[in-house]
Amino acid sequence: MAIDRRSFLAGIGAAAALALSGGSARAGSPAVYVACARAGDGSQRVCGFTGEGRLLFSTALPERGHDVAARPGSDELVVFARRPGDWMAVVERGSGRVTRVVLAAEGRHFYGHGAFSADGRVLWATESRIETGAGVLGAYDCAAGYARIGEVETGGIGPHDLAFLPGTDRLVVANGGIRTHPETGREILNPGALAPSLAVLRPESGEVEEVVELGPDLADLSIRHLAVAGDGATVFGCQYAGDPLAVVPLVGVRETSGRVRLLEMPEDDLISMENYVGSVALDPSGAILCATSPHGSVAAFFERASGRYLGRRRMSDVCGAAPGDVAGTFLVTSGNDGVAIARVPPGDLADLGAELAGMVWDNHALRL
Amino acid sequence: MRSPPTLAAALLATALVTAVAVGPVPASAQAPSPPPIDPQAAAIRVAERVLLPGYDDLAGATAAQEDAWRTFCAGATPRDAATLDDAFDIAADAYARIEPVRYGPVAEDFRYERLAFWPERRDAAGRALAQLEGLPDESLLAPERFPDTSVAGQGFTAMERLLYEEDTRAALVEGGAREARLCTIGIAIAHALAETSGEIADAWRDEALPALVADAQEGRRAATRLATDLLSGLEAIETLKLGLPLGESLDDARASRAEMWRSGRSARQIALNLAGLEATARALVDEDAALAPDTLRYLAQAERLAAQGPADIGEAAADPERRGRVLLLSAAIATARTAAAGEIPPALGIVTGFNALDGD
Repeated sequence: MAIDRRSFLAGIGAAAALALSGGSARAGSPAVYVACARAGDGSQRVCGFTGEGRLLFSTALPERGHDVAARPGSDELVVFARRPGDWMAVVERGSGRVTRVVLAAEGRHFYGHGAFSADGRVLWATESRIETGAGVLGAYDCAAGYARIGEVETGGIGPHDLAFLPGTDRLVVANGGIRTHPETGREILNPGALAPSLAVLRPESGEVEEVVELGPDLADLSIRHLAVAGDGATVFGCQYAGDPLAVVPLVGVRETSGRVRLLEMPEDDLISMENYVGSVALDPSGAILCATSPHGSVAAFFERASGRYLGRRRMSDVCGAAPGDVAGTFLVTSGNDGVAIARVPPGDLADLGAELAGMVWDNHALRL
Repeated sequence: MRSPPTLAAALLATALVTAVAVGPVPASAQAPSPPPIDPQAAAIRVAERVLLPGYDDLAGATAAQEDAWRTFCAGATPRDAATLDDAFDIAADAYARIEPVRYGPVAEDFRYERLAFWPERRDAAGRALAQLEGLPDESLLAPERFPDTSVAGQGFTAMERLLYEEDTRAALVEGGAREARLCTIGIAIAHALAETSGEIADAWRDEALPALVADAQEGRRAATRLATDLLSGLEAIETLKLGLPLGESLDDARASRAEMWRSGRSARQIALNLAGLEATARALVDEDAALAPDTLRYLAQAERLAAQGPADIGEAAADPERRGRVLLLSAAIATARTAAAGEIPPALGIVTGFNALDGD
C-alpha cells in the first residue's frame, strides 16, 4: 500500500509531542522506552514514555508500525512498518517529530525490524526480494539521508529480527522461514516447508559465517525474535506453524561459543505459551531472560546462563518486553492491559497506570 | 435441495464484505466524542448480570458434583453412574456459560487452566490421569496437595475423560482393582473444581466488583478486557472448537479433536458459550439493541445453529453429508465476530487489544 505523504506529514504536524528534557542516559532519570501502539481514536502511533508511566510523545504513523531501532550517537529513531510494509520513518527521540519517511526499494518490502552498526553509520533492515522471496538486508547510509546503498542476502527466507553481536561487525539474523507476498498480505505461502534458521553474517562483505537450523523435527518452528546480551549470547523466541496441538520448545540461546540450545519448561507452563513467543528480552544485567506469549497471556522467565526456568506470570495479551530500570526487572506491554514492570523473582507485576493503559500496545518495546 | 457448503461460502463472503465495511477509518476522519455507553458502567453491568450469577452457578453446580461423587463412591458396585452424569451435565453447562471470560479472578493463580485444559496437547489430561492413577501413595490426591499436581488433571477436561472414557467408566460402575483409586481421583477433581469455582465467585464479590465500582480506570480497563474476551471467545470457537475437528478439508477432519466428544457435549458447549457471550454483549450495551444490532442478531443466529445442528461436532465434521452444517456454524460465528468487532468497541469508546489475534 502506498503512503499518502501529504496526509502523513499533516498528521505529523498535529501529533501531540512533548519535548524530553535532556538525554535518557542521565543518572537518576528513569528509563525511557519507545513502542508502537494504537490510540483510542484508532490511529496508529509511535510513543515515547518513561519507565514510570509518563507519556513523552505520541506521534501519528501512516499505518501500523512494528519495531523501533535507535541510532547510536544520534537522536534518531527509526520506526519500521509492520511486514509486509513498504516504509520506515525517522523520528527524533526527544520530540517524537518525524523528520523523514523512507520507502522500500522497488521490488522489496520490509519485515519490521532493523539494526544500526555500532558507529551509527549504516542501518541494516530485514527485507524480502518480492519476486523470489529471498531474504536480504537492505543497507542505508544514515548520514546521506538514509539512501539505500546496497543489500546482502541473509542465508534464508523470511528474515525477521536481527542484532549486532556486541563489539563485532557480525550480525545475527533470525530467518523466520515464512514466505509472504504483499499481494497476499500475511498469508504463509510455504506452509510445511518453512526452513527457519539463525544466521551469523558479516553484512559489509555479505559473508554468511554460520547458519544454524533446528533440525527436521522443528522445521515448522519459525525463529522470529532476538535479544543479545553484552557478552554476545543471543536469546531467540520462536513461533510454531505446524500442528496446533503439538508442543515444541519456543525459546533458545545461542552461546558465544556458537552452541545453540533450546530451553526447557515444565509441560503445563510450556503448553500455556500456545506455541507462540511474541518477544524476548534480557534484563539490564543480561542474566535473566523474558519470553512473552500474547496467545497464552503469559510472560515466562529463565536464567540465561543455566537455562533454568524461573516461572511465569499472567498478563492479558502481553507481547512487548524490554529491560527494566534495574537488574531483574522488565518492562512488559499489552494490547489490552496497559504497561507494567515485572520483577523477577518473584515475577510480580506493577502496573504503570492509566495514561499508558489507554493505548493498544503493539508487539515490541525498545529501551533507549 | 439444500446445499450447505454453498450457503457457508455465501455467509463467508458476507463476513468478508462486512469486515471491509467496518475496517479502521483514517485518523483524519475521527473526532473525539463521548461514547454512547460509559465503559465503567458497562463492566459493572456485566459483572452483576453475567459474571457473579455465572460463577455462583458454577460454584453451586461443582459443589453438587462433589457431593454426587462422594455418594456414588460410598455405594456398593455395580452402581448406576446416572447421578454422576447429571451432576456433570449441570456443572459443564454452568462452566460453558462463563468459559469465554478470561478477565478477573479467573486469570489469577492459573484458575482458567485449572477449570479446563483444552485443547488437549500431547494428550495432557489423559497422561495426567494415568499419572494420578499410578501414584505409589495417595497423599498427592489430598485436597491440600492436589493443586500442586499437573493442572491438566484438575478440571472439566480430566473429569470428562474419567467419567466417559470406556475403561475408566466401566471400572467406576462395575468395581474391581482400579475402582478405589479412580474414585479418589474423581472426588479430588470434583473437589478441586468446587474449590476453584468458589474462590472465583468469592473474589468477584469481595474484591473485583468493588474495585470496578470504586475506580473508573479499572472499570474502563475491565470493559476493554471483557470486549476483547467477547471477540477472542468467538475466535476460539471458530478456530479451535470447530477448526480443530474440521481440519483443512474433509480428508483432514478429526472427530476426536472436538471438545468433550466422549460425553457428546461438543455442540452443547458451543451453544452455551454463545449464550454466555450474547449475555455479555447485551449487558455491555445495556440491552440497547440499537447500539449493536448486527452483533446481537448474528449471535442469536449462531446460537440457534449450534443448538439445532449436529450434536456431535467431531463426527459431523468428518461426515461428508453433515460437514456443511459445521462449516455453516463456523461461518455464522465468523459473521458474529466481525459484527461485534465493528459495533462493540465504538459503543464503549474503547479499542480492543490485538497482539494475540494478529501478532508477528
